[in-house]
Amino acid sequence: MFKYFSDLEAFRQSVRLQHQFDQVATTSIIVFEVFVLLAVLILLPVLSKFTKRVLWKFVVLALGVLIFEFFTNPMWFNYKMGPWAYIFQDISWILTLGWSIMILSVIVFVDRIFSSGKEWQRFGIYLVVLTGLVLFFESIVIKLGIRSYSPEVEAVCNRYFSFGPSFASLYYIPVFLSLVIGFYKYWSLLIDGKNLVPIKRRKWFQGLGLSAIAVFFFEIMVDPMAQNVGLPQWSYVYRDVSLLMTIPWIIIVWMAINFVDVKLFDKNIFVRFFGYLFFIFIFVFPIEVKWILSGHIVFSPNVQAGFSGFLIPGINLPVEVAFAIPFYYALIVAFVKYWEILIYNKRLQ
Amino acid sequence: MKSPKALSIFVGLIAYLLCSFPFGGVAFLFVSVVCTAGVALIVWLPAFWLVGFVILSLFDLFTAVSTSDERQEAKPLDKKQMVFIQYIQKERAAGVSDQQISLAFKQVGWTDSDIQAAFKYADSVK
Repeated sequence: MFKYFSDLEAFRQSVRLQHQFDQVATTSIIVFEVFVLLAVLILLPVLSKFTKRVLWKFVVLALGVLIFEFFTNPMWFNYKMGPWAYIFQDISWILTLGWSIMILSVIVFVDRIFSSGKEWQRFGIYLVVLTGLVLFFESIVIKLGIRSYSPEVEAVCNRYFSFGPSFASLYYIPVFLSLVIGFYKYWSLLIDGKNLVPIKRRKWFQGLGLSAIAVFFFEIMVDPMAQNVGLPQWSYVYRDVSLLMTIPWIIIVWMAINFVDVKLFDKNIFVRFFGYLFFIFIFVFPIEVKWILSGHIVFSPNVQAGFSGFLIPGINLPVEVAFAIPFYYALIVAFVKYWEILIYNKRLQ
Repeated sequence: MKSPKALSIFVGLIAYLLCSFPFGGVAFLFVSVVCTAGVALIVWLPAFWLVGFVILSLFDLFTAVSTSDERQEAKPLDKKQMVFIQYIQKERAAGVSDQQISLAFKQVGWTDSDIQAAFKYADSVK
């Protein structure tokens, strides 16, 4: 049995203790929160002049940011925002709205200013502009005392990026943004009612390449959350990212996308999206459980502290193990599908 | 092509035996069925069917792609072609020319005869 959950009462007690943190907001933090909310209230009507159905797009983007915040929650802490600011543990809806309006504003304005450019060029511009903005606002929330990082994240940053944590951000921020913007762009196709060409001949290797990029970069980003141990040395390609774990995830994502796209050919991208996640879940879940129970995946102390304390009956693993799968694959799949759709639909490029 | 259920179950069973053999999966299957007087088959059979269905569907998918170029003549309308036609109608409504629509289809592997058949039907259901 998985060692962390062998004593259930002790585990639940430790969860209760570790979920307590300082929620008392300072005046400067309250001013910051008001600034964020005002920015949302002012920018949404402005953005509605430049793009259709802006509210839906904002909701989708906020959902993408929230999904990301949920599953990377143990990597960073958001304290002192006031009891009103939290929706789950230390995840704050105010920060979610703030990141979302910032990302949406940049996307809308870049699309407008560079409307004659190719989609991949605009995507690159989003990343450059947003990386600068995220670094700026991240430094503000750190200075205000809201944001701090888990020791595992600090360790990775200090050990592998000799220029300090801010240099590590140059990897984490673009990857996070790519996944969230990919998620937003995928759903925007539906919101904007884009007409997608039915495909006869699939580009298998391009799809495999996209899946490999998405899964591999994602694995590196969430690396501080768990240790992959006890696998053959040759399989480790970067820190504890092992090919023996990563390759099956890539193949499952690739197969799910191709299988669902062919079998649900006549369904829209909304239905297909849940098809991908269902397919992925039924294959990934048992494999992941097997890795955890055999001790090959060991969660970091902060991930364990983030667990709600509810366990999956029968296997005594935290329910988060099951819930996290559709969450993080939602971002990976949306990213892969968005680029795949662009490859097939030249007019959208 | 739709595979018979028995074939899916058989393929799923073979896949299970091959994958689980090193981990004692054969004994586990045998014991679970015998000790429950066969009741465990309620779980095993749908699971085998699902795995077999996925494998056979993927097989169909690959073989369909590899033989698609040989089928040049127009086929009767099916679900796929209905999607094809809806695409044409939406593109036309958005002001896209038939030439551009044809080009978009060709870029994703449709043959001239497929495209002609779809345009013909799209015109007939205006």
